[in-house]
Amino acid sequence: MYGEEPLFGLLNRLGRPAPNHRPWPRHVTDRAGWRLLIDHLGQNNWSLLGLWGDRAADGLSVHAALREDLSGDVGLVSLPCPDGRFPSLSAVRPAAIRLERAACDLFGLTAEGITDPRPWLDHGQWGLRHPLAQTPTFSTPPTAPYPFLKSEGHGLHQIPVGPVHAGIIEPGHFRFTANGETVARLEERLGYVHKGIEGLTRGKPVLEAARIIARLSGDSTVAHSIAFARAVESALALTIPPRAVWLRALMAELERLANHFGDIGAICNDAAFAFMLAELSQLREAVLRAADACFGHRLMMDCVIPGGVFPDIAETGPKRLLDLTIELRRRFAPLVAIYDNKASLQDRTVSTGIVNTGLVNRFGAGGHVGRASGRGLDARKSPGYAPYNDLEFEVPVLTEGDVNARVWIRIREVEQSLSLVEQIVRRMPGVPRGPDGITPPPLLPMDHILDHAKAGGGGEGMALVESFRGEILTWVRIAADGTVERCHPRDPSWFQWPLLEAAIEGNIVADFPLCNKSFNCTYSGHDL
Amino acid sequence: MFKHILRSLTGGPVTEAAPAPSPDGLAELAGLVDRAAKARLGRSLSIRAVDAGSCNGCELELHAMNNPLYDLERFGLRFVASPRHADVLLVTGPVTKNMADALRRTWEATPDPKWVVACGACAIDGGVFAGSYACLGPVETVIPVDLRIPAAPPTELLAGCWLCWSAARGRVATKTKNGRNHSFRPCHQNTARPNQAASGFPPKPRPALRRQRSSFRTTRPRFRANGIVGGPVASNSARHRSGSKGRRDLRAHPRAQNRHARLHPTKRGRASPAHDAESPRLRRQAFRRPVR
Repeated sequence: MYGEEPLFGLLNRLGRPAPNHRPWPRHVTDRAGWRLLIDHLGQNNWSLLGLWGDRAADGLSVHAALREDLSGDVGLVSLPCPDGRFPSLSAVRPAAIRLERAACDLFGLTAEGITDPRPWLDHGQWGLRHPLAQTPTFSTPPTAPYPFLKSEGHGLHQIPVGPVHAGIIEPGHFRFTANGETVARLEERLGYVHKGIEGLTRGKPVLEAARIIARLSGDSTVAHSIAFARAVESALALTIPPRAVWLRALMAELERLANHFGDIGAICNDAAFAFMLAELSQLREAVLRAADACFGHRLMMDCVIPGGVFPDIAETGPKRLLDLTIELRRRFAPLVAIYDNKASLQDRTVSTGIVNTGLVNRFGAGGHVGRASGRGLDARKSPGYAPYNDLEFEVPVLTEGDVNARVWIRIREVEQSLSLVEQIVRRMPGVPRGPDGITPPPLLPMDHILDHAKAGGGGEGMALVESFRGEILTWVRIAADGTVERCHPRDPSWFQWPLLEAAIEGNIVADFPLCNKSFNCTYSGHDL
Repeated sequence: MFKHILRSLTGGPVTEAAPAPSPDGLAELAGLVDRAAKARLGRSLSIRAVDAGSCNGCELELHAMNNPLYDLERFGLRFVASPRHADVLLVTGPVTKNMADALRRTWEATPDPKWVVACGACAIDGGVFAGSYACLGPVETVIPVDLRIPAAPPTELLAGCWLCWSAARGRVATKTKNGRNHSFRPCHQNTARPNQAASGFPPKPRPALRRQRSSFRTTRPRFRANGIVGGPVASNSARHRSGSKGRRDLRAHPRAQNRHARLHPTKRGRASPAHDAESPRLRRQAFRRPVR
């Protein structure tokens, strides 16, 4: 029975596909169908890509996105919840727990049988309960403190950390229960940077919504922007200029390079080897300056928008990027050798913070966390998107699952990204010049997008995009007037944060910064 | 690695020259550096970065300021791990409601004198997040803000911090969005009782340092998790006044003061006789209560 039924076979049995949903089908089912889905999830190893609440004109509903990893098939299932309740997926997919808790906080959708009913994003400070529901209710700050999970035993003590941390990092609370130096349990409490992004994007024109999504997580602004833009373009069945597709990939790879350089340096720094941070932060700076010279912004924020890319790469950009890759290769290789040969550094990273393959698969974690533990999935390969189908690159996979493996995944990805940047710069379609010599930007005119929205009566779209952390899922519903009705960006960190709790168990408290940095999950992208 | 180190030693530092302060920042700070206060901080300023809901973009650029190319510490500006060691709170993000309490408590934990710098568009006016059910918007809705740095690239930040340092040496008038004059100055100078300021009589000039400090009490509002709790609070300096005679000689020289201040985070050592000789006009200004 295991993995016997293909995903689409079951989805077709569950219900009819909704119209205007692209590029993958969305099947609307009923409670019996949803329960059947839960049964099948228990027997198959389909990954849960996301689960989110929705409020349309006809009431509340919940959507789940699934993928059959081997074939790369992706499908969505929707369950209308007129009474605001749905059977929980948390028993068969533990990654669903926090997603369901968030859906409850935002929409008031109750997951029946959820293994953890505590609030997640809602700290009781908004003055509102269920802000995205039909009728939000007023609320007052809670009187009782948040109930952390209990750890009892001889000699256990608690160490609360955060939300304001010692370094220049984002806020979140960590509750350690330690036995001497050894961590017996870590529990995370996030949601401190919840900005209400899903609420803010509602009713906004796509370009305005794109500006908000670009500020979802500053380090993966390009990837989130690409995911949103591609979801909108799918929803409205738009075809963007080919040059824009290539420029997007170029920006995404520059972003990956910059972040990986920063991360490798910071991990070494957390192991008290500041030399690597000093050297690698210079490489990171070189990438950011090149990005600034090419696209006018160091982080390339707001450069990717629905319909294409704005601005086009600067005229000197391609030459500068090719020089940059040569320079980076020359400077990066000796640093890798230093990392590999320093016994004191290896002593900290090898066999620290191990996540095993089973756990990574159960939570469907992607990115360097998944790939360091034997889960070699990459949205650029499967399901794949342009222009990566035309480019040559490998997805590095290791099985050790420790901090060292996550560093090596990054090192290998840097090498792949350098090669990708070169390939993209060399093979990118040229600039189409008009007869009068004016170069149009690789961007669809806004009128064209609005016309498409009006002609098609809006639509729903989803995109999977590989950020430097892993795959981003973005789902949108666009109204006929070209405004965003619902946008749900799901950052890869949703499936990586829970694994950090597992990774630190049995390690010493002093190794937590090292583990945390090797995961480098986002707070802002997760808290929305 | 030794080759690397040798090259760094022979090749000279990669650190670049400091940028000129941006004209915008200059306009906001409007010059006016007070020589008398120069000795208070010497050339050091400890910054505590607080993310109050930022997208992490500002944090990335704050990190960049620490890299060898920008090397913030060469100016005596450094990021510290605890608000208790900080002179400046550098706040980013459109203060989320879930972070407001933590931000307020961080501000409380920072000893006087202290400044608050709002960094980035979100911290200044809420940016694209203004109007969200989960955000409070500008930092000044929670704690008083002394300086605003609008953009996040490191060169701008560096220029902003550079200004911050020059401003920290003295009093710099700044103008808020609503036209009110903000004084860029340490909170502990707000020794004038509000009723005294309101009475219209100029307060008596302070005759001597020690006498003045003996009546050093503020009516600074205290925050608790669920609102403002008013009432006079003994300042750090007042609390530590007794039994500190032996330290006075440490304050004789500006350099020594500086070291003293680092060793004693209560910052008693930073108060110099010079600051007490400042014009009474300064003391007349009532403490700005944070807008709630």
